[in-house]
Amino acid sequence: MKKIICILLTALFLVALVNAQRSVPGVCCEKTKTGAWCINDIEENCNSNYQTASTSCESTSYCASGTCYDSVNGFCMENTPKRVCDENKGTWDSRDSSEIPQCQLGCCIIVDQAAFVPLVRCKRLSTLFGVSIDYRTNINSEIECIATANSQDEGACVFEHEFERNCRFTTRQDCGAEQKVLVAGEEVDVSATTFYKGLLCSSEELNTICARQASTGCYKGQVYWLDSCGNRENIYSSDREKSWNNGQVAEPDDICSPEDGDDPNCGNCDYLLGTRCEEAGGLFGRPNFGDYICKKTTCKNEDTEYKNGEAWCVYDIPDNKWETGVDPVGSRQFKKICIDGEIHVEPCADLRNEICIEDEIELDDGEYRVAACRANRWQDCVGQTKQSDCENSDKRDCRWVAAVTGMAASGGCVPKTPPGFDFWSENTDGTGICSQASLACTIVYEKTILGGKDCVKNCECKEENWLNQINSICNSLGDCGGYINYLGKYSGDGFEWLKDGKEIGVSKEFEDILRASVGVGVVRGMR
Amino acid sequence: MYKKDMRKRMNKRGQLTIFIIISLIIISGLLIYFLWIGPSYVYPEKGRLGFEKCVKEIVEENINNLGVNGGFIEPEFFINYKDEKIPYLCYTNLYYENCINQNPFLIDNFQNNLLEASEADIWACYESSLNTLKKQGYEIIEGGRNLSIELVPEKANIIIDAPIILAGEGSQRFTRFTLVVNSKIYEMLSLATSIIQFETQYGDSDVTSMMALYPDYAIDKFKQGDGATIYIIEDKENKNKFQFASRSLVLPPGYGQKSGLVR
Repeated sequence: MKKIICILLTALFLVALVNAQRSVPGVCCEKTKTGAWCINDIEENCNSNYQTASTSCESTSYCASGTCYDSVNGFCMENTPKRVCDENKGTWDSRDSSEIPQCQLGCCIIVDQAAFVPLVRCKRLSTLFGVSIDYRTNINSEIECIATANSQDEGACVFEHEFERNCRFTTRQDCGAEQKVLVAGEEVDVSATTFYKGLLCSSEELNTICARQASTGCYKGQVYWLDSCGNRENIYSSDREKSWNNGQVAEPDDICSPEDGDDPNCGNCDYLLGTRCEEAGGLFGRPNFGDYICKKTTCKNEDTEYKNGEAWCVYDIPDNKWETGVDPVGSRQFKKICIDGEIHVEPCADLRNEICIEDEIELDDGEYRVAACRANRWQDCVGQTKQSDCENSDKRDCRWVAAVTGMAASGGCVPKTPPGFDFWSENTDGTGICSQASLACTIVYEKTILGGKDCVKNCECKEENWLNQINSICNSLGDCGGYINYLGKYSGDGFEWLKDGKEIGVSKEFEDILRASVGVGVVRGMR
Repeated sequence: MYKKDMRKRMNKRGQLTIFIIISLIIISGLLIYFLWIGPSYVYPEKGRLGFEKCVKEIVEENINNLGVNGGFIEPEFFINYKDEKIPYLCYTNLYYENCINQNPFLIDNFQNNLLEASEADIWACYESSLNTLKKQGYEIIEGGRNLSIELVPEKANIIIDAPIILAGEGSQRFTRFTLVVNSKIYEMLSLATSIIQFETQYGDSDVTSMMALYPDYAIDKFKQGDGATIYIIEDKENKNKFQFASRSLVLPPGYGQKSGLVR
């Protein structure tokens, strides 16, 4: 009985110890010595000029998280500690922003732009732009809000300036509200304006000083003609008459078909078709007039063309030939993205705590590649005893490996992407995790008549091939066993091959096999 | 007698021609100087004192410098990345936890720091132009001064409230000077705010869709070994940057039991 109590007490002590290690550290520092606000840390790290409490920050009055509201500019920011909010002269509220009336979002229309913001922010923006407030609470999404702004009446806003008829191409709302406009860099008082819906400033009937089609420029990703006053006209086309449309506003599609990047003389760029207004570079493919064209937003990477927005995975392995369990020590996975003709590289989290996943979506014009970095769910692989549980990809990222000689079970469950460990640290978990792959293989010999011995059981355990198999399982658990790093350097520090308690060295071939099976270091430049 | 008269008349005509030629040269010289070359000193015309260029240059430079420092003149809480101090705008030192906002109002913070970084230099520009006017013989009567900078979409407005009266050949009165610097810093700060909101709520952010929605900006995201993420937002047109760091929802090496939950 005493034994049982003793075991129970020991077990309780161990559980408490583990929990203590996992729990939030000792005190809540209002500010740390490094300058961070509201951090749970050990007392030595707290700035002594600020408050410290022996509890978690969430439980303190000064560091509890909530929504911080700026009543002047109308910004709302969630998950902000009270102290940080006070420091920034905000108003703190313990509720979620969705429950705070001042943080409710609506559609704010400012000239031809839209912002999905709280009412106070809309008032502020309207004041800054000198337009009357147009705030619509019945619009509930940002996309709907942007669409509303795009559907406003546009036309010529005509006014007198220094005895001349001047003009600005704008929205009806902006034309009526503006009292001051910028003319050649100067603010000009405009008391009387007249709005002509659907007319360009260069329209002959308006008789303004603005001459038609003086230059071209980009506006919302498309190429437009600009008049001599700098006002936007219709979509650029080398067919000037068609584009001018007798001085009336025309739909882009009525001027020329949406552009896929082949015709430099049509400015009807289509972001979804993979074109966007950019300055024309080089001598070829220039437009007949102006400097702007619809440029292709596709990217080229190793002979493969990617559409704008496509993403794909890249590994620290030659030829990008990633297979399960091959990730070398120190390697990472990366996501590459094609945006506007440029390839951006996004490394997934270090120590392979994140993996890159990719897929393809079938579209009318071919496949569209998507990729993402997401958490590597390797933690409970080793605990799975059934192959079906192990390979349940909804729950974990593991694979089933066949048993090797010496293993009691019929197989084992290991991570698909071995995690990295902080093996240089004294507190590393790596040693414990790696030791799960330790295996003892008992070789049985029979004495022969002549006094020699014949191996009769587990004889393969003597061969390097067996060592290779068990090392492979070891490698799959994480940064374990004898393996190479992402620079191709082999280290055998992670394993021992003992015979009757004495270490046996491995051959050069053993290292070479490992190195050849992986290869290393293709994307080192991305770090 | 007739010949003498003729000679006199010829002399007079010659003199007149010379005078006309000389005056034409002087007038054209003055016209070229004033209209084409332009005088090097400032003169109060069209509601300006001539310090606008100087002020704009200062503000543009400070916007760039502050952008690289995440909106701070000298970041206090930062991570070193490629020899630059990148401030944490959202941070937790724990594993498996979302970050805590360290600076809720980025636009306000940037505005305040821009004002602090620029104020002395802007007034120096102003003083310099006043001194030039004084040297030109203007008498200057000054009132109180105030400077404010406001960031709005696509620009930064610099408002200098400095009522002065210039008494010289005719007195002129100025009360406020409003200057505009074209900059997309407001948009970049709004994008940064959006990223931080994602980081506080979900522990990560999807910059791919952000770049698709806002194609004028390139957003790069670099995850560091300690779990920090460096974000660099770049205005593609003028290459201005806003960079900051966040540490949110970090997974520990291994199970994180031995190393605990503290970094």
